[in-house]
Amino acid sequence: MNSYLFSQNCRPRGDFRIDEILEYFDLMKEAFRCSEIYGSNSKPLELTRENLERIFRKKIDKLFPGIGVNVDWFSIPPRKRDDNTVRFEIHTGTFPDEVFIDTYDISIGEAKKVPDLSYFEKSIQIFEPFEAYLGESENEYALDSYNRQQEIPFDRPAIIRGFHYMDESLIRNIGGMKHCLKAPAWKVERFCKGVLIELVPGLFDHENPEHLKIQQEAMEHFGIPVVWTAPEIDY
Amino acid sequence: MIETEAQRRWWFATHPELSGGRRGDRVGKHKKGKGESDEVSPEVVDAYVEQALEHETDDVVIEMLKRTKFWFGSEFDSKTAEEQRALLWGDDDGDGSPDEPANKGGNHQTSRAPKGHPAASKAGYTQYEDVLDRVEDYQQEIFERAIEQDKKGLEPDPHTFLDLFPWRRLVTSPVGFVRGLVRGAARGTVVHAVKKAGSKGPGTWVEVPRGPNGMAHQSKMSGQQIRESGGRLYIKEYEVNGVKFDDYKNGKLYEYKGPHGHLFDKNNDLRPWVKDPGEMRKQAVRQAKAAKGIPVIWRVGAHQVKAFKNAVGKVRGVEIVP
Repeated sequence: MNSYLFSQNCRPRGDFRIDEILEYFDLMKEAFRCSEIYGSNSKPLELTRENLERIFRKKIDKLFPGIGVNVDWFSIPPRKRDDNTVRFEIHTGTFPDEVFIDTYDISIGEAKKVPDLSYFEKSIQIFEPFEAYLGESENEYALDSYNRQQEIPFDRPAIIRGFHYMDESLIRNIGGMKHCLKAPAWKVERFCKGVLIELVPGLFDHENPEHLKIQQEAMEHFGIPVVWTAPEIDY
Repeated sequence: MIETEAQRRWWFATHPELSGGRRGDRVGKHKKGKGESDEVSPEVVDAYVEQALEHETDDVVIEMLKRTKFWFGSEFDSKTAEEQRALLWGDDDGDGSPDEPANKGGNHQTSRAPKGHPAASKAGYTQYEDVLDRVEDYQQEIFERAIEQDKKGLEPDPHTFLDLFPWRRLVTSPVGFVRGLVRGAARGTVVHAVKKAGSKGPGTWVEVPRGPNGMAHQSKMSGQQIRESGGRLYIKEYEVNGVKFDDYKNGKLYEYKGPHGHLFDKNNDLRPWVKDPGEMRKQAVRQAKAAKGIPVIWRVGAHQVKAFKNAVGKVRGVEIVP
């Protein structure tokens, strides 16, 4: 089994996006079939506007309030230590003048079944991120997406994932809408405020050579090098 | 029989000499790998001392360094076994051969420097010796008192306010405090004489108290010594714009992450139930923010790069390397 990460990157707005987060968790509870969301203290969270506001305000960094706040919430109390746990990683409230971004990620353990992709589409409609994707852990590591992203600003994708949404600002930087809609993938369609690319039907699998071939072709189409060497770091 | 947590604490509080699991005691101890050894070669000692002597101006420290070089450097090693014994045990009877320890009449188990050891005659060393002797006497007294208390048997669980009051800490903590002070001062003098001054840069080196977890790894990587004082552990870290880093060298800021193997699954992914990836991310963001463009490098275990990248997420300005 592979582990997946659904990631949504939003441009910082300087607010916590509490309304969007509440709507997002209503959706995710349905997607992952969990009745409660738990905090890192293994207690169920009261998902109300006031409570989220209180939690986020408490976590604001005193030295750098502009960098936003981090929270990790879970579908199962983390004390139970179950690989079926789904972790919701939220970084929100970043100020617009920062180089950092707001992220709303979902880490899905390898024992947990990935829900229908339509839930992720709905989530994209809630947050309207500039980029969202369902990445597969091994594939991300093999293509070194972390170091690639270090080298480029957030205005273009580091790699193309099996399920990948980009808004117009990103599309402009990788050849424009027309070029994007011609991408060699199973499905490419206009969606929300950009384009949604699905390389293969269903989930991307790094052990399937067909999937890797399609990914390679799509990346070449957007001018993203498949073979990439990280710059030498003298440490 | 010790049955409760309170009894266990009482027992360790009254048997300080057996409290091997107390904070800080494990620092520096680790399982030796095959072929690994504590020994430092005499040539390395020579090189370190020569380097330190170039910078040192204090006469007492210079003398200590010279004697360190003599006893642990290549000079002593180059002598024959006979000459070494003569240097160690002296040749009072003038027969040309070293005297046997049994003939010297001294208690060799308790004396720190053998007769003839030059360090023993130095004023600075004698001063530390005196303080250490007093601390040892005090420890012995505490130990005997604890034995007396032990004879009375184990105490029951606390029932009253007086039972809860940690009055024993008033007895044991001064010992730890004095011992830490003396050891810290003595070690600090030598370490500062031997170690080069910390790298200069955009921030300052500050000494901070830290928990024992990962302290040995941090010390090994950064070269900063751990200092124990009053039962707490201190280490120097590099502070830039109010945020602390483990090291600064070659124009880069470093964070050293010790083994986190228990948090990763067989694929070296961070387990989904791990509670604190947010803390790692927060630390990375704060460091990137404070660094203001200076490269920040996280050195992690060779098999944990992937997991740390997952945990840190999309923080620009933090390189994660093995």
